[in-house]
Amino acid sequence: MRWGVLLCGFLAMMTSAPGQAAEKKACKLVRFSETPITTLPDGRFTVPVVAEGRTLNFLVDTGGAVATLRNTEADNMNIQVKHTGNPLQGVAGIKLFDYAILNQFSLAGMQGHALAVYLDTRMPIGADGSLAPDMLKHFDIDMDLMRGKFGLFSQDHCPGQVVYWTKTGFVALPMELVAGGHIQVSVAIDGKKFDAILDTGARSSLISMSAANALGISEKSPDLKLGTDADARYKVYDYPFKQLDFDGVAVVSPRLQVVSDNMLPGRTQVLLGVGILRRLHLYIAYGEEKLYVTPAGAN
Amino acid sequence: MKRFALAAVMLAASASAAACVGYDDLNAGISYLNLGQYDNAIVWLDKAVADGDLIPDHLRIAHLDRGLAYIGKRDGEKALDAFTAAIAAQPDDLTAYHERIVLYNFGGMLEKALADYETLNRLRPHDYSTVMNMGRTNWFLDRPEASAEAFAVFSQNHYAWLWLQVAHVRLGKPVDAMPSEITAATPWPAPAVRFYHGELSEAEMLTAAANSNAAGVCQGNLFAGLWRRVHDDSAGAKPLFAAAFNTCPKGTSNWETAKRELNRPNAGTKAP
Repeated sequence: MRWGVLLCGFLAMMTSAPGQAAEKKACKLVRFSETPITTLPDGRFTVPVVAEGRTLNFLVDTGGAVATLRNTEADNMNIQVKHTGNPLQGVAGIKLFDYAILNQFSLAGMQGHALAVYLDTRMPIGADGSLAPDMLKHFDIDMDLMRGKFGLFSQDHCPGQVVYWTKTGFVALPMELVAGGHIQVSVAIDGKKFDAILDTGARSSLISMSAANALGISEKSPDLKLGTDADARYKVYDYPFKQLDFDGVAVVSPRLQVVSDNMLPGRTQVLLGVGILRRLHLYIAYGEEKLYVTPAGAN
Repeated sequence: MKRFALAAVMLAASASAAACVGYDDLNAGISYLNLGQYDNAIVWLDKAVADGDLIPDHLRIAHLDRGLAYIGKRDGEKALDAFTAAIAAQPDDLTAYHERIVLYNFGGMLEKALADYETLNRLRPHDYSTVMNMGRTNWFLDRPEASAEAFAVFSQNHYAWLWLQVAHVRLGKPVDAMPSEITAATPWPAPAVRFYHGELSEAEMLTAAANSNAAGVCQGNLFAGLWRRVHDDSAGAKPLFAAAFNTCPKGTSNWETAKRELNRPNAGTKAP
């Protein structure tokens, strides 16, 4: 499957947005859309999409790879399900082998076509599918979870001029797009710097045991408490971290679980889930490769 | 490039505390719920609601999560009230209806469950899961016509087709033609379709079910039991429902159906 080709509809739509050239001269942000967020019980969130004429709620998953669709929706849409030998591998070894092609798809009123989606049998209740970096990375993404708004912006803007919602200060962090289009930024946890992946598809935030070791934490640390929600294959601990710092915007008492190294994919040291990200207003400038951060309530 | 004044950012962080008290309390409540600390979750979610500054989506999720926390505490009555409050906060969101239906079904309040399924069907038409549940709930309520009407919506689906035939026989109607694309090689549940259509015997169908997978064993017993039941063989249906009850994964619609059929007055021994 060629995901880039399948996304051509979105790219065409984005580059033909009316008024964009004129706005560019004025060095203004061009907002394609702003949609309301629906919060899921665990704090993650969805945005409305229209697929094959059906209005659905898709989880925004910056930690995903490609778009997914709840498997039962394929029945509702009466679309053909295909099998692939090239499965999508998710967390904890889950593999998705079935996929379908959505001929009609729109996000925030913008049309796409021939979008391939893996079929997922394990979507959280309230989510009918997920949006992943394969689609998100073609926009700048504004996540204002406190006000319940999700904005799509043009990437064609003057560098650094995106924080429209406050004049009281912000942080602009360089971000690296690593495997799967995942967003990696540098954060400080209790004063020590780590590379962290931003994952809005994860409810919990995690730090590997080897990364925690660098903070002097070990399995013998008295403040380390073995959690009850651990998968048998992994150990999950709670630890009273004091502060997580985005180079000036701090989250105090972040809930960050210490986990076995093999629970996190690849070389990931820290994964920031929505439990922490909800406390911030984030603007992901995929084009500029910058993450703009303020406290959630900044205005 | 970093363009900010640290002092200003930290000031904004503290200023936000006053501007969004309810949001902060909501986030605390969600975190406690995710931790399984239900009493703490309820305290913070109650505070979030009382703060009075939540946007409608957050007010909905505060009530919804209160309901889930009360379920964690096995207090179905308060959970029901919380889900109803979530629906009142945002009547067009589906999640709270789904949660409330679970409680209605658990409490045997099938009329109320059906009303919520009908609301879900209005909010999101042509949803296989909702329509099938409407069909089954009408079946449990002894309304075969309404049941058939629901199952007919997805009659090209093999499971919906099977249920539709159950309702048809109960209504004295003939069995429909099979959905297309069924041959002797078509995997489960096609053997059940062929059994209902008269191409296979019950024993042949059950053998095919046993040779398929765990779901096939459960479903083979269930559909054989339903077939006997609508053909007035309650005594013969009973061991089949019992087998389905013991082989279907607990809490699934098939398990629930087997349980309800065993509990019918003319179906023999009650399910535990």
